[in-house]
Order: sequence, then C-alpha cells, then structure tokens
Amino acid sequence: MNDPVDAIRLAQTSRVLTDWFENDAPRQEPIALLNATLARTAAVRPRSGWRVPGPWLRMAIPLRSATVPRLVLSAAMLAMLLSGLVAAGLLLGGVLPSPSVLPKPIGPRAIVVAPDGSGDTRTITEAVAMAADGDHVLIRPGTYREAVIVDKDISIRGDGPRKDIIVEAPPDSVLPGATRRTSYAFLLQAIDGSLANVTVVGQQVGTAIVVKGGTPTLEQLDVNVLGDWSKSPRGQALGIDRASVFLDDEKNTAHRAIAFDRGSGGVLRDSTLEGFLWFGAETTPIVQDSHLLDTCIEIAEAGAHPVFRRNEIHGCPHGWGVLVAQGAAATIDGNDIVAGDKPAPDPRPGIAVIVQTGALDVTITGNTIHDSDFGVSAPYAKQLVVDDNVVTANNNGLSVIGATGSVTENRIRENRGVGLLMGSGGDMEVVDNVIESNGTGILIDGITYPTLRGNTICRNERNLTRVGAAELTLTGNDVCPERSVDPFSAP
Amino acid sequence: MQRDLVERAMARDHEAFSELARLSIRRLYAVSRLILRDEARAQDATQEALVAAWRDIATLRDPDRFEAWLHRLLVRECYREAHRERRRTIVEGRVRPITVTAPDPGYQNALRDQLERGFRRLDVEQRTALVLHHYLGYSFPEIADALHIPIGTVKSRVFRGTVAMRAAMDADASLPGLPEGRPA
Repeated sequence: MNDPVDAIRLAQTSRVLTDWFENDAPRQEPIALLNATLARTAAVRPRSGWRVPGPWLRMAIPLRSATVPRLVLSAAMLAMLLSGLVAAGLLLGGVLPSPSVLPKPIGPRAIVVAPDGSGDTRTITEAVAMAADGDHVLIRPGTYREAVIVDKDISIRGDGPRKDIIVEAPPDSVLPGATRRTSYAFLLQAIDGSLANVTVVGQQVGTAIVVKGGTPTLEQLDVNVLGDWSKSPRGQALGIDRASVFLDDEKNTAHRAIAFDRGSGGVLRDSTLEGFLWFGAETTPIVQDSHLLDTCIEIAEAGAHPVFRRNEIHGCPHGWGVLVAQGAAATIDGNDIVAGDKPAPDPRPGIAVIVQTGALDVTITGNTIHDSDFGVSAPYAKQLVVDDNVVTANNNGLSVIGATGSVTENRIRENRGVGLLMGSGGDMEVVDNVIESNGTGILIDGITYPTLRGNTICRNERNLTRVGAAELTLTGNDVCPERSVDPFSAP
Repeated sequence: MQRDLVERAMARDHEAFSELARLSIRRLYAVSRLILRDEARAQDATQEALVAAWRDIATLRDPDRFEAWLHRLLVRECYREAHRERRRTIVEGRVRPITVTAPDPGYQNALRDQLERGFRRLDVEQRTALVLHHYLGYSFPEIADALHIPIGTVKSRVFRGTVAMRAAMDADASLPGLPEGRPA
C-alpha cells in the first residue's frame, strides 16, 4: 500500500462498509427466534465441563501432573459450606419457608406434559393454561386428542422422537366463531411463539393447525390429514379451461394441514406436510426447507404474499402444486415442484404452479418444475417474473397467455407439447432462455408482440408456431434447425 | 453482571443462560445476517450457535471471554451454513436505506446494489473478517483471537476483502463518486 491515493480510496471504502453494515443490520429484537432457541436449549442437556464453577469448591488440577485431582478448601469455602449446612438445618426445623412456598423463579419456565402423569400436567391445554409469556411447554411422547388454543407467546415443543408425539384434532371440535364442523388440533392466535417437533393429525373436515395473526415459528412438524382425498369437496370444484382453474366460491376447509389466516406471518420450516396449505388475506409467512408431499398450496385471498424457499412440493390429488388466486402474490424460489394427479375419474397430472387471472407480483425463480400437465400456467397475471427455472418433462412448459412481466434465463426443455405458450395480448419480455427439445418451442396465439431476445431455440419439433395475426421474427435469438431436420438428433 | 450470569449458566442454570441469550441474540443475528446475506440461514446459524453454547458452556474456561467464545461459535455456524448452500444463493436485494449523506437516492440505491453484489462475491471468510472488523469494531488481534487464526491471516482477509469491495464499487463507470468525493 505505497500509493497514497490507493490508501485514501481504501479508507473511504472502509467508511462506506461501516455505514453500510450499520444501516443494513437488522435492528429489531428477534423475539420469535429467541423463543424458539430457548425452547430448544431447554430440551438440551449441557455437557459436563472440566470444572465446577463457583468459589465454594474448586478442583485444582496441576498443569504438569494431571493424574490426581486435588481438592482445595479455602477458609472462605469452609465458611460458605458451614453457612449452607446451618441454613439446611434451619430449613428442616421449619424456621425458613419450605421450597413450595418460596417465590417462583423469575424467567421462563418449562412445563412438562406427559400422559402418564409423570410431568406437570397430562394435557397440553392444561399446560398452556398454566404457562405465561416466554414459558416452554415440553410434550413427552404419547397421543393427545385435543383442540389446543394458544394465545400466549410460548414455545411448545415435543420432547422425544417426533413420530411418538402425536396431537390429533378431535373430530367434533369447532373453531371459535365457526358455524359448522371445523376440527382443529392447534389454533395459534396472534402469538409470536413456536410449535416444534410434534406430529399433528387433522380430520378430513377441518384444519390441523390454524394460525390467526402473529408471527409464530413452526418447525420440525409432521402434519397430515386423515381421510380420503376423493371425498373432499375441493375435488369436485376443480376444472381446467384455457389453462385457468376455477374453484368454488365456498370457503371450504376440507383437508387442510395448516391454514395461515388474518394477517399472520412467521416461519414454517423443516417440516413434512400432507393436506392443503392455505393462506388467507394479508398473510406473509415463509415456508422453507420442508417436504410438502401430497400438499396443495393455496394462496387464496387478496394481499397474501407468502415466500416458499427450498421446499419439495409434490402436489395433492386435486391436481396442482401451488395456486395463487386473484389479488394474491407469492415468491416461489428454489423449490422442486410437481403437480399431483387430478382425482378420479381423470387421473392425469395437474398443473404445478397456477397463477390465476388477477394475481399480482408473482415471482418464480430457481425452481425445478417437472412432470406435470403444465409447469406454470399464468394467464393474465400481472408483474409476473419467471427467472432461472428448469421447466422440463411436462406436457406443456410455461403458459403466460395475456400476462405481463418477464421470462428470463429459464431452461425450458423436453416438454412434450409446447415449451412456451403466449398470446391474447400481454406484454412479456422473453430473454436469454434456452428452449429446446420440446414439441413446439414457442407458440404464439393471437395478436401479441413479445420481446424475444437472446434466447436459444433449438431442436424443437417446431421452433415457433404462430396462430392468428401475430407477426414475429426470431431475429436476435440463437435458432438451431428444428428437430425434424436436425442432423444431430436421434434418427 | 455478565460474569455472574455466565458463571450461573456454567452451573447449568438455564434461566441465567436465557438472560445471556436475550442480551446477545440481536447482535448475533445481525452479525450472521450480514455475513450470510440471508435471513433464514442467519436465523439457523444464530440458533445453532446458541444451542451449542448452552450445550458446551461448561467447557468455557474464562467467563470473561464468553462473548468472544460465542462469536467464535457463531462464525463456525455461519461457515457451516455458507458451505451448506444447496442450490443457489438467493438474491433478494432487500437492503435498508442508507441514511447518511444521501442527497441523491438514485446514487444510494446504485451504491447499495454495488455493495451487495460485491460483498456476495467475497468468500465467507473474507465477509466474516470485514463484518467483525467494521460492524463489531474488533481489532485485528481480537479477530485473530475470536477465530483462532494468525493476525497476518486476519489482516490479509480484511485487506483483500476491502480491495475487492473497492473494485466492486468502481466496476460501474456510471456510478458517481463516493459521498466524500473521489480523489482526483
């Protein structure tokens, strides 16, 4: 660093970095994280150390000869030991209050639930009633048939193997305020606590876990719903027309594993779900690192904007993986997504990601979307971003008819029908994608003038098909011969 | 006060440890968020560090060095998280506004983007050294002590990281000079 100009520039950089860190660092107390962490530590037994702390007894271990530990008792230690013995004697004599009437310790408590009576309570409901904000409820192995309402900032955690800690929704339970049978196992009401390491079982009609408001952390859960999917009313309400999906207007609650309702946020992670994962108005939770198997994700109401990261999403037998309804938004990032089969008598694969007409601000990035009827169907979506995905082995890849937004840097390949379907107006930027080995690379239907730039369009049976009045050339793109005349394709 | 809490926690007093966690979690989370640039990973790293601290606190030899020890555990978890990335780094671009000397919001936005991109390109060891130095205000010997690495390595990481960030800021010729004015 001999150049003074360089030195000044680096000093300036250091100041910029300091300011940037200071402004970029989160300022809020991470309360939910603290609660979740303390719940975990409450269940962890610390390892024993190499010494016992405190002044009253100390192991003095010579550095050079550690063969025989030596007990060293100082005068102070002896005094403290004697005073302890005196206090113990007074306690036995009834002069000091017994421990049962001593004031309760300040700070979070751990309340143990065990069905055999070995804990503080036998039911989770009783434990929640006893708990105060910040306390931890530890659930020992057993089967609990309870509808638990949690309205305190507490952590509830299974203390043992998750598969052995089962909380099942009573079939006859009714959510507060509901007018019909809506069984539930947990109702988390506007809390900032956590629920972890339990298996939750819901009934065919109802919701296993209901989150209403708050920002709870849900982690390491197994959630599934009893019953037969084909009998769920949702199955009768699904139809596909022009790549749109129409659902019944009734807000039914069948087969819900978890419902986030009323502006709730929070985190769901490291869990396994089976059943609907439902999002109501203004909900913004993060769902990550989970296995959502036989799960239909329904972002159902306006203003919802959940985030999905690094999940395995294998859709439910109602024919989709993720559905974003009118007025809702979503960020779908880094997931593996495949639609479930539609219900009998039409057991064809469904649509992996459905973005319904009127959905806003849906971002689909970094996913692998495969083995479905459509990979993404987003007719007339607004501000749609489809970036850096692999869309493969579907009947059709992306359908963005009438949508506005961008399709960039995706690999759309080996889809049997159309790789990318556009048309009916819309204003899409289609840039830097690889569209190859599909039946038809790009199909444009109607009067549409998308921006097509920097794409590699190769080895499709037909690279481009235009229907209607669209006039378009592929100038500015890398276009290979079509597969039927491609000398490099298989004979 | 803190020493008393640490000693009680070392004697397996979970209440005392809870208080220590409450006192330190915001700073821990901020450090991991700055290093990892990802909210979820930062939460995971922070939680794992605190769980490890509780599990191993009896092995702490000097209660006065609890904070440095905790930061070492946190950095270890950050390294683990950074190396565990499964598919890709998530670029969210969610950066709070810089409030200092910001006459031109366009400039500030561009600068933040440059910083974000440049910082993500650094390896996690360099990011850690810069965060400990510039955010926590650790000196080089303190960083060396916290990370159990030689001071020379610390200096090298901070220097190379700073140079790389300078280069990132200079990369876009359209970006105006620094707030204090770029030397002629």
